[in-house]
Amino acid sequence: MNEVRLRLGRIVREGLRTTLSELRLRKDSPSSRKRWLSLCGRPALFIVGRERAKLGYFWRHAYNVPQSGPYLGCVVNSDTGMPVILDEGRLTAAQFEQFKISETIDSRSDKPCRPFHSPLWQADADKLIAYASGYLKCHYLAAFTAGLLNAQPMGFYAPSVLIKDAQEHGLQVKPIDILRSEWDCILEQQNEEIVLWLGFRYVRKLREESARAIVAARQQAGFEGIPDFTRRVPVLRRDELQNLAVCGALNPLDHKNQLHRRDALWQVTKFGMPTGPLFKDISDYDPTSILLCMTDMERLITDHHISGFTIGRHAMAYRREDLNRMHLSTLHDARNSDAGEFVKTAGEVTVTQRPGTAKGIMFMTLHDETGYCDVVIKPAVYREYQTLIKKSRFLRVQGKLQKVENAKERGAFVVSINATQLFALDFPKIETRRRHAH
Amino acid sequence: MRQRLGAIHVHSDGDPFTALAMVPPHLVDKWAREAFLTLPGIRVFLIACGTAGTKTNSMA
Repeated sequence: MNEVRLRLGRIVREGLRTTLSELRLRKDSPSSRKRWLSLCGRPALFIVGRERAKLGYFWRHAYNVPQSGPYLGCVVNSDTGMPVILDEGRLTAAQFEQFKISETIDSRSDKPCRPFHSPLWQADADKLIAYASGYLKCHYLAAFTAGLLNAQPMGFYAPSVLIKDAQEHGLQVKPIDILRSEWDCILEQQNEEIVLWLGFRYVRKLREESARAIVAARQQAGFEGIPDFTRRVPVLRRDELQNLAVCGALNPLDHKNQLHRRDALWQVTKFGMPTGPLFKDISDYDPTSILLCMTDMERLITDHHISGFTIGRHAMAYRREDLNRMHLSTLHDARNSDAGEFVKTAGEVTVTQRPGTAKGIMFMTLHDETGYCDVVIKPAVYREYQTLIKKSRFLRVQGKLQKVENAKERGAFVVSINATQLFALDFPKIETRRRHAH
Repeated sequence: MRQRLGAIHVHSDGDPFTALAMVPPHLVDKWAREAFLTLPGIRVFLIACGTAGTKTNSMA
């Protein structure tokens, strides 16, 4: 607990610095009031962050592990000083580590440690948050992904990374659909499988009120076609209609499944305009479409422009043959090379971070259709390629592969490429959105 | 924020008081600054984790 003062409009940590345990001891003593007044003597305000308060960091520790004495290695009750007794004997620190997490997540009564359940055990924030997130992602992948996508902008990873990761773990992600989607991403049961429908929130420039108007009109009666749709949802602006058409959301409006994005764009441009009395009796359907379908690359560029991601193949997959000719390995192969081996690879830059505590080192995460790989860029290399790193969305990286054993987990290695050279990868104008964390 | 701080001050009626504010984590410093600007003679303490001094490994 730190006292703070106001200096030149800024909060500085200075003054009394003590622990809550000491304060508690003072409070428990017979003359606690006097001692507290001698310590403080004037109005005092204690401020605690809500999340930290929930985790109970300022509460008294419920259980301790002595570092010496007869109960060495056991968990003791801090009130009585006595060890916690289980059926098979004293509760050891190793058992406690397992129980406190498993009980937090799964509170079934058949757990052996149930009588000793305490919410204070849950205060181990780092482990619990990591474990809880991992548990949710493992058992409720669809709901976990939908929750993250609906809470954007937040977190460390962009929606494109979250979606690709969910797809790699088996989640079926459906595109934005005018007949099914809502403002938020939703889940739907299909043949004993839960699929995720992307929401209208991922259509560029589409307002929430417009999305809700679409859903309301759809609930009254199904849309018969684009002319019917444009008439019944007049709140939609022209750019919103165009973006819906370009991202393929209007394709399901054609019952014969012949409508493609360019057709839809043509029709919303035609029917989205106000018509005077002269044209009001002309029939809606215009079967003479001479427009060609978008190519895969055009669809990819459009998806990134409208939503910031694609649910189809990764952009790097379209260039894999070229990359193979350039002797650039996939990120999966690069990661599985031997430590110290010189690797050449390429990928989309999804996350960059240059924390102040890292002494100028930049960390970058590359992504391609085979997975992820971290790249470490030392300050000298960063200075040389600074402009390239900031501007390029797709990079070619060369350097030595390094594998460092994780300090917290034996047998697990942190794999990264120590970049020595970086090049821009010639790519069409795909508007990927990356995150930069300081 | 200032209304709440002012309410604390009025409620104490001039006597020394101790209050605990549970606030959003990103507003901890802002609350401290507002407390100094609103309450005369206030001392502000921030409760943070990792306070040293315990002889045992905390497990809770």
